[in-house]
Amino acid sequence: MESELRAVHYVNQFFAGIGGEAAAGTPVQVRREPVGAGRALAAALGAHARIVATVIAGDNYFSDEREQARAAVRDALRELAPDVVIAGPAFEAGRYGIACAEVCRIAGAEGIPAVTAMHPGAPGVLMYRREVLIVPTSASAADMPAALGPLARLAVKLGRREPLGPAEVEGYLPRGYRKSGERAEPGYKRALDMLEAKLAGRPYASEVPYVAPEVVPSAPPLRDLADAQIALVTTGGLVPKGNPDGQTSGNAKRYFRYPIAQLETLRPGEWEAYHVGYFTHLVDRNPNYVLPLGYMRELEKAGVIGALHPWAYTLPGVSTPVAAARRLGEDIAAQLRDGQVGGCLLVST
Amino acid sequence: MISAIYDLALTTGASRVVRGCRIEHVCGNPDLGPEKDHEYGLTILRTALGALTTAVTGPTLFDPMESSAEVVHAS
Repeated sequence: MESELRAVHYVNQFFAGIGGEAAAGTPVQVRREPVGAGRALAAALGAHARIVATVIAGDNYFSDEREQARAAVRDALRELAPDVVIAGPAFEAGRYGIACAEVCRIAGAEGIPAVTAMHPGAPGVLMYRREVLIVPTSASAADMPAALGPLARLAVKLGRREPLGPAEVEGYLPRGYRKSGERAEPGYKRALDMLEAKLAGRPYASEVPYVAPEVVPSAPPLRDLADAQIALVTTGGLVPKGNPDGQTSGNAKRYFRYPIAQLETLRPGEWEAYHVGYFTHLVDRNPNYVLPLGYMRELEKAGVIGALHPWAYTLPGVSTPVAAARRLGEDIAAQLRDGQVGGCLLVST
Repeated sequence: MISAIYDLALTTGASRVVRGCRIEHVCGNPDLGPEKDHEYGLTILRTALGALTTAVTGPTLFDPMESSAEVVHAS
């Protein structure tokens, strides 16, 4: 009978039940029990592992106070010395996913196996896929029950220091490593089987998945800024007050453009941010924080730039799949080219 | 791109990434008081415009806090 593993769970302020965006500045705290969503994780772990502590941090705290947050997590893990660290699931959350992956990285540096879970399109995967074990989930936190099973199973395996099999067998996202091993059939036979399946239109699984790297060649520098027309774009979801065009709060299917030629600055009360990914109260008080029209007008008057483009482009970037974002970006870029724009500033939240 | 989460921004294919203040107030900082907030916002914007005139070979971070006082000025 294997002894019960000691696990530490990491959650953010929301999944700890402390609060939403308003509590995103919560500093790192440790509670010696499963908290919030951790209770369901504890059930999924069953008799194999016990959550001896939950480390909690607000998403903004983890992002803004990076050094302090990392040190606090590291110290907590050193003191607790668990057999395994489990972070999340973060689903498609940006900051939370990054924090979860970072917590796993910190655990790894302390020699503690760790695993997290999030949607394959989440920013945390983009940044940490090679360093950290990530179990794929759907984009929605409503799928928590389905996400916990694979996460708990992998956590127990890691905590027991059992050897890890390939990604598709164990249920984690491929990290891009190749391990030598034996397969049931020789290579030439497998290749011919694959070719046969491909020619017959049957599904087949490539042994080496081809993921084209995203390399965007950088545009050459602007030669004469004082002569150039500069455009402003934001993914912060800025809209005229009342959101007259019905911009969604996330998952952008289209972008919006607003005439700004007559405006000296963006005034509170006339604009608001409609975006479910961040706490928008400060932008509502000063919309120039995400669409810096006021500053650009000053720089235009001072002759630093030739002119500010008369259209400002906005959309809500949160939860927008990369493929959609690419298409929308290409559309906006085409419009800017038609408008003789020389350079563009994109403010992202 | 002006972003507070510049680590992430650098992995997205953006060649010129300017460090913003915080997600909730990318181009400024209300904690500094109106005058310094405004100054800070202008510094971020000047850094961003300077980035547009700088040749880069790959994702490059431009940090307004490290740039010299007048990155861009009218001649």
